[in-house]
Amino acid sequence: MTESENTTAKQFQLPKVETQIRGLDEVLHGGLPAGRVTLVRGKSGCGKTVMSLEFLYRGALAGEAGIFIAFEESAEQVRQNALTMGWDLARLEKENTLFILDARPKTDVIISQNFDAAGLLAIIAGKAEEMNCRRIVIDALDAFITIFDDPAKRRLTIRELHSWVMAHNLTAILTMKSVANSAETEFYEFLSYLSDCVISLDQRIFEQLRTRRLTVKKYRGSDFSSSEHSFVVSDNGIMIITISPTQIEHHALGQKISTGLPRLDTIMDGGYRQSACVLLSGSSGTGKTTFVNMFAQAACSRGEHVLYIAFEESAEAIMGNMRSVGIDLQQATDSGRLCYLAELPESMGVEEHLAHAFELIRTFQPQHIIVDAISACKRMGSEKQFFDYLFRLVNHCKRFGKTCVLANQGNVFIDDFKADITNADFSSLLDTVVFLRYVEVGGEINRTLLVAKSRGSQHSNQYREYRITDNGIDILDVYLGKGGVLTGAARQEQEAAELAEFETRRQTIDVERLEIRGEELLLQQTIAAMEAKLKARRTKLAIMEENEQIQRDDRNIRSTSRGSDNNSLVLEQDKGGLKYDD
Amino acid sequence: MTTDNSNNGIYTFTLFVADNKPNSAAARRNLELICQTCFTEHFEIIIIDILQNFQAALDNDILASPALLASLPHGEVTIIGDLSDTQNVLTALGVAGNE
Repeated sequence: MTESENTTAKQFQLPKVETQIRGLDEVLHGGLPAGRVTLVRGKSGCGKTVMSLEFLYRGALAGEAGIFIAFEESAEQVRQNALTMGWDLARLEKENTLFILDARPKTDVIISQNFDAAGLLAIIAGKAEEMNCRRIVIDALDAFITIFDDPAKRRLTIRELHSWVMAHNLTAILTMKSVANSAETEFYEFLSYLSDCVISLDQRIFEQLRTRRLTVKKYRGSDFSSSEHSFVVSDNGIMIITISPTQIEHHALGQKISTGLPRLDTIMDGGYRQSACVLLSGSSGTGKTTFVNMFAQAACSRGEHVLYIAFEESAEAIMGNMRSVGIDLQQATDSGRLCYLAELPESMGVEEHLAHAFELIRTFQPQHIIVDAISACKRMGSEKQFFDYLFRLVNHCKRFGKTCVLANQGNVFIDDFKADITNADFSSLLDTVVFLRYVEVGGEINRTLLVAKSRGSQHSNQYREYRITDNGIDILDVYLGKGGVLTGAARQEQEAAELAEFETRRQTIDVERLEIRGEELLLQQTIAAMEAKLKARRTKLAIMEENEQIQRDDRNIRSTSRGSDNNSLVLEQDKGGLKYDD
Repeated sequence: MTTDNSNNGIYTFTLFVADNKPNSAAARRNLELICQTCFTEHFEIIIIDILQNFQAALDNDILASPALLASLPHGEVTIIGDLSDTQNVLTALGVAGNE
């Protein structure tokens, strides 16, 4: 009871038929209205025929028979055009799941007054019944109705056709060339009114590159994505690139994955992270390609798949260059794990580039995508298109949990480049940024790297010197001397200078020590000499005092023996003493 | 399907009609009238209802109806419509001068 209530509440939408055209069902929120008429309009050459034919082709492959009524081309032309996209219509015709009716107006026919399209309807009806047809395409309606002169007759015929399609419960696409004149506009409005769904195709040439757009103008009784969507006619049919998912469906950053360089892994606390967007930026010759190929090689040897989008060199050239620095990618490509998509940026528009990439992501199922180099994407057109490509590619990768490693030929000066990427709001998409940089010291160029940003993990913020050797990239120890980071010969010079300085200092100390020792000795000698001198004088003094005492003693002995008064004696003694001394 | 007169007529008219819809019915009347007035003998009329036999329409490239496929001594002519403008039809059939 409640179940049936629920279903009636939920199922107010019209039944839909999946087109299986890549991206279209997403835009149409499920597909075309089943058993109803869809109008596809656009200027000549914008892909109406391909789109409607693909609708039948995909349907026929899935077992839903279809009829293609060609008013502009012969059946053989339709078959040949389909073959360029790899579609074998003749096989489907044999299997009776496809019927192409050549309905080009006959030139040698004489018109005599009133007629109608009953013959056409009879053929379609008969065929439809015979094939159990579910889908029908009329290409193009404008060519069909030109056989009627009278506008009223045209409308009547279209009405007949429309009610016939509805009565037979066929899902129909009518294509119509849009031409800007009032009569056509009126007719278009009439057709729009009859159709349950209207899709408009458009193509523009911008910066010499073709851009195709698809817009759903109307979808009776259903939601649809009303924005403009880019699409391409690829070698396998139409592919619509949905501008942006209605909500951000980015995968969370996954586990750590090796960068392919053990020391870089250490610097980054384990490596990049799965589904992260990594930017390796540096000027020409800093080894960006070597870095990304080492990553690719490591991933492939772990059994993972890598899609390598090369904008600057062919796959052969890359592999050859890598061989010269000791990175052999032959095994990775032979095992089918590494796939190169080498294209010139200017060869096609953004949409086509994206279509090729998305198609490979879908079929090849890589875990990681490398773009070498994104700077070349500017050659797809303007700056805007460069970011358009990147945004959509990175968003797509994030949505499907793919790691995106972007090499970028950036400015030597980090600050400039930072400004560059933040300007475009691109930096928010970047999880990890590694700057590769030339440093010129002492007339020599050396390479350093800096992990400037690494979301969700710790990382060293020190500059490291690295060398491109015969065996890939070799990251050196952190140099922590004075005067910032030094590299190469300058680093060696600095080291030698410091050693010499140390030697000099040591020698100076030694000399000083010696000098002090000498001073000490000298001082001691002086002290000794002075002491000796002092001692000598003391000795002299002692001798003098002794002599004096002896003389005094002698006199006392003599006066005592005469028996005289001491005083008179002294006087006498003084006189006589003088005499005595002589 | 109506066959008139001789078996090996010089003129064979195959008229593709859609049942008895107004245009088809008119064409049938007009063709018979033209034949009776201009081709007293040596003609054959074949009527094919494409609603019954779409394969015949397909085989003969008949997409508009009614349609007349005229097999004449000097070739074939296809005329689409109800054949109401007799003079034009006769011109197309190469017998305008006769009448």
